[in-house]
Amino acid sequence: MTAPIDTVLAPLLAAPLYATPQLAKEDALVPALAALGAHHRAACPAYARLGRVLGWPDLPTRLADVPWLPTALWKTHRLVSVPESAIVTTLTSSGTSGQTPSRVHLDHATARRQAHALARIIGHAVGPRRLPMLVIDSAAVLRDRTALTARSAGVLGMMTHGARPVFALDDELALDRGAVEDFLARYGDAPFLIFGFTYLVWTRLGPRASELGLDLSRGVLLHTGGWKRLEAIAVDGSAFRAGLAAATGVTRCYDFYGLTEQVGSVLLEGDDGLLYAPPFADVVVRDPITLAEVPAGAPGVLQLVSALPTSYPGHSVLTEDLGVVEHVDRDTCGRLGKAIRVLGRVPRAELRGCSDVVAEALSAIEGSVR
Amino acid sequence: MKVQVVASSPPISRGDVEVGALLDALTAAPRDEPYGDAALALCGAVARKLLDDPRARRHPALTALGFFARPSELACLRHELAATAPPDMVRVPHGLVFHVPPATVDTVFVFSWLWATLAGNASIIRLSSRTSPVVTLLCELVADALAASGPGVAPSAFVRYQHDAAITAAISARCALRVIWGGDATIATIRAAPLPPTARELTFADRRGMVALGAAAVVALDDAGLRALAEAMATDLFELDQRACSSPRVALWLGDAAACAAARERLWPEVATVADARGVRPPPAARLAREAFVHRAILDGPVVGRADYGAALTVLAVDRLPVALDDHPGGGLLLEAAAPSLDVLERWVSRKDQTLAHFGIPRVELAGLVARLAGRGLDRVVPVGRALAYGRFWDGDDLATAFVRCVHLVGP
Repeated sequence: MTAPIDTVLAPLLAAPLYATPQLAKEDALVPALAALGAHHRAACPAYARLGRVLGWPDLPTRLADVPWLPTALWKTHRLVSVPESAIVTTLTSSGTSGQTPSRVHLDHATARRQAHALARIIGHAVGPRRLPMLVIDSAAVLRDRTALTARSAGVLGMMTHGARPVFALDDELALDRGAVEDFLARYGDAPFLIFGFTYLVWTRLGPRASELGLDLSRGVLLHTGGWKRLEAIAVDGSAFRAGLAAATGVTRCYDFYGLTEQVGSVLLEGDDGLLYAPPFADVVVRDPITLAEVPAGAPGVLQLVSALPTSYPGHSVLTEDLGVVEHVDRDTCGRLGKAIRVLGRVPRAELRGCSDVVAEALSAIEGSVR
Repeated sequence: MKVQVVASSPPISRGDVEVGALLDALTAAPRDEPYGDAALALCGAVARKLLDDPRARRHPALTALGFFARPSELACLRHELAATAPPDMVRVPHGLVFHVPPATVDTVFVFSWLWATLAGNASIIRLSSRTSPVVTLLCELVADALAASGPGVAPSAFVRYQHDAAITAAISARCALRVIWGGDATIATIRAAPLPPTARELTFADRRGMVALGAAAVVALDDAGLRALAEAMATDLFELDQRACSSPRVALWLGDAAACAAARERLWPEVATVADARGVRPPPAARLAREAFVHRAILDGPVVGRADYGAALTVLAVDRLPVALDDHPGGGLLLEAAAPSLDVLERWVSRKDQTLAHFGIPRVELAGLVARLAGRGLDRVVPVGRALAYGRFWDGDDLATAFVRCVHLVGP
């Protein structure tokens, strides 16, 4: 099964990023998603049963017709399209107390495809070379594998895309001045990579860097995890950029948005502050009540499609996140396709993001210290 | 340990009050006789406010509550209780009643308090920390009625406190009757606080509702009748976002296959039309939870088909019963089965099943079902449209007598 699917997916994975107009992009992407749907129906009995009962189209011809699964399904059901023996990695998200984590099962081919895709997207932001990497997190996050798994998975996943990683925070998530100054002395005069969760970057790096007069101006920041906690203190994308530039000198920063269910096909921020999908992924915005597709400019629930997963039927999922397509093919930052803004979680839905989990854990720590 | 008194009988003051002093005041006050004039006057005054206040009239649930407690209804109830009392029995109150109403249904705390007050008891009501405009309005109306109430009514205090086990324990240790209106987790939590050995407890656990419809009767309806049935069904389905225990979650069609198919094709689109006219829109989180439930139900259970009627209603066809309902998200989701007769319910109804709403089924069949179930389940069997209506008989208890003690009095 894998060979013919790979034949279908290969051109998508090799296509230039953000360079194709939306309609041409869909012309290439939709048949690949249709082929993935057929693959998963043949290989995953649960997926096939859903298709039969819900009357899915055999071969969808429009992006909005591609059937989706709710992301919540990965919390309760083991959905796989490969034999057990082929599973090499299981990704787990949001494993804090009180929440059921999602579990996503990868075989070699899917894991390799996702890593390759992520490397291409990161390369687009930071260049083709693996750069020295400053991680705005604590090494403790990797020591305790039972807690905060979404965060540790994010850090671990990103560490393969940088060289000689240094953790900038100590076990109490305070800035480790010695480690950072040492890193900057060695690598600070050439481009280097900074990675961290948005909330930690803002609260833990920004203020201390400003106090200590650290110069991180050669750094390229990749950050993720969501804005809810920062919006509560009135920090949006542009305030983040401006504040961080003033505090640290970092002017090249890229937010990205991704799901555990679709590792590798992340949406990457452009210079216009909006997110863009690679050629092998896209979004459909749906009315939160009717679930019908809404036009650009109208906010709704995000459906994410990705041509990467073959070991589990996660090529099209309905998230619990809200977003909006601000415009299409307008080329406001050298990119074509849908320009996307993520607006946060659907109110009262189950908490899933990383940064909010971090912030909750932080307030718990701070609360217990007081 | 302080609690915040939101509404109270004079002279108990509002605001932050030491719980021990509050309990002293509530237990020391003179008690009323059950269904005495003063208690009836107070409850009637609350009912009139619910029916007359322009803000209250915007909420059908408050009107329903006012209708239930209107003075003429209370007078009837007193008369009936007096008429059916044996000559060697005298009713007296329990004493202090501790009410733990649910956070999810705004009006239950007043319903619970009314029964306790009618029966002559003092009450302390723990309000949920999660408030709502309806709860705030109810507290205001009750506080006004309490302030104007005459002497001779046993006192009441409506209080708020953070989930503090010590306060719950202190109140529990002094009460004569504890009333916990679910859910199951709350019952388990509150039960950790011991009651005095002589105290009683009423618990209303998580339950569930269903509806049974005679297919031939639905097919035979004229357009006006169909609309009336759809209105009633929409009330049962969409009130409280289908999250009440009594809200129907399973629909059972009775009749032959052809009649069931024809009846469902008539009724559900009409219900969707009514929902649309009433502006029923599930909250986005509930809408997404519905999708998650649908997909899980297909993978786990006997779901064989899905039909959507507007955004408000999704109907999942199942080819056998029972079905798992534990994660049912409310917000307009029915599981639908067909059967030749009510007999199918005998096999799968359990204590969890509280309410059977019905249409087009003869009373004798319903009575036969209740008799054959013999207490295994179903405490309410009511017409469609009244699934969520308040009543004297609830979860197997007669609330008119559950709040009184019966003294056996034999004398010369």
